[in-house]
Amino acid sequence: MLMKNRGSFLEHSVTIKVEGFEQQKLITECMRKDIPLKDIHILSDIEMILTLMEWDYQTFLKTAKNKYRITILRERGYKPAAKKAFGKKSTIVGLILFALILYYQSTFVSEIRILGYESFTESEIRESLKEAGLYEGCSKSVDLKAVKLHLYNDLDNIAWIGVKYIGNLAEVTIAEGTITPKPVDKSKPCDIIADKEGYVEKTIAREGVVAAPQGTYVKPGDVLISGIVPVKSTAYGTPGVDTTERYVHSEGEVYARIPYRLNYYQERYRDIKTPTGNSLVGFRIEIGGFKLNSANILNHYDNSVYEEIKLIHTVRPIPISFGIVKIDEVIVTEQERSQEEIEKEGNRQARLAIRENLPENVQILNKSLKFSPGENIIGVAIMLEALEKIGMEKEIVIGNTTDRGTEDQN
Amino acid sequence: MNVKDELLYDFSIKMPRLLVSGNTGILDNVKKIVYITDSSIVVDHGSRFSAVSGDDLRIKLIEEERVLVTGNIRSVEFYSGKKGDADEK
Repeated sequence: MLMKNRGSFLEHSVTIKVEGFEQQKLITECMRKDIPLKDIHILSDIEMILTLMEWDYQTFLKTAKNKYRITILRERGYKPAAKKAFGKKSTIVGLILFALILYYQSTFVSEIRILGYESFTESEIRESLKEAGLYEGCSKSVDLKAVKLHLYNDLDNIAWIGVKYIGNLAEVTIAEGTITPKPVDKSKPCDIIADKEGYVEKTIAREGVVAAPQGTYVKPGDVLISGIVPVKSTAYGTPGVDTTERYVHSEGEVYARIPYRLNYYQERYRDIKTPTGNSLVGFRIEIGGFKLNSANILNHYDNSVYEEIKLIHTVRPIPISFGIVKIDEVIVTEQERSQEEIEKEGNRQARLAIRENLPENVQILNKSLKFSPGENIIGVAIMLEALEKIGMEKEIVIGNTTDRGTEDQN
Repeated sequence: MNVKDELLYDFSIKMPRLLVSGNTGILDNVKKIVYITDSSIVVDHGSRFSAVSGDDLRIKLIEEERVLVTGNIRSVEFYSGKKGDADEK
């Protein structure tokens, strides 16, 4: 039997109610005309409900002629469903909107992954990336070259930076350079040279000759413990004046007093904000690159204090931020800060300076603060003297007089 | 069943062929629906009739001389052929 291409009941089917006598005759006629029928439910002698394919509906009507009253109860299948869905304007608008949202959310960075860092912490790199404009929720159109350049400038000892987007994920790969000097092989002669400038305080030479006694001011590269040890021959029959040299692998520790001079600034006057009692409330909304702050539009105060309560802050799927803002009008008056306050702040700045500029485990020998008041600011000169271990090994290349000469000059 | 019997069975297109299992019955070689209610379905196979009786009977599908019946099937009966037919009983 040749199969007709009718599709299937899943494609498009019609459930109808047939009213009339001799239902069995109509069903038999449908069988003869090869009309598949489904779910035949006999309600009474004159009523039945059945389902047939939409393809056969016209043939069914011709078969039934005017002997039966036929009512369509429902249509099923993916074709009428699609027709129904796409027939509505609201569905089309919704779909377009969905597609736009999908596209819009793909233009933002939702996550940043940092790989390859060793000496830096992830938060340091993230902070630097944020300063450069790459943060979670930022647009993907950020200039990556500028971001890399910022990172090269901001973070020391970066050999290579790679930034690539994987969907909404920004993958930042960092390769750090190696600046740690390799220690000289024990079998090779070497000097101990200064790696910082300062006044030599104490030298413990286990091997080699002390080249910089206590109190000597040394600069980076100056020899502290020399690996060239003069040897005077005392053997019988050898002229006593003849001296020769022995090359050794210098070992020892050199401590030096390192001076630091750091400049900080403080405000001379302190602002006192007195509320006038006038205030306004608004909202701030950020959707991707769109930013709106109603308080900023309505704010007409000369001086004001801005407060915000963040209610929504999401990055995925679209960066959305919403908050209630309050702006209070204030009158700003200036009051000169007391000496005690200035000194307290100076000491805090000194502690900050020590933490930021001095290596760990150093002994602070002296600390002094000098305040120079200006018109609006006060300059704070912080003088620090720290006892630090200086000195690094430098190989002596035999026969290379130029190298030796250079070191001497230093 | 030998080959001859199998061939005869396959080509008996006017004879009733029923398969009943649980609440489902399959009636093959159906030429005509004679009587249909929710308690009884009688069909003509060409040379014989068969009837399925029970409760809540429904025709699930009619397609290519096959009728799929669902419901509580209680009994199946076969009736003799039409007047003048060789197998009239």
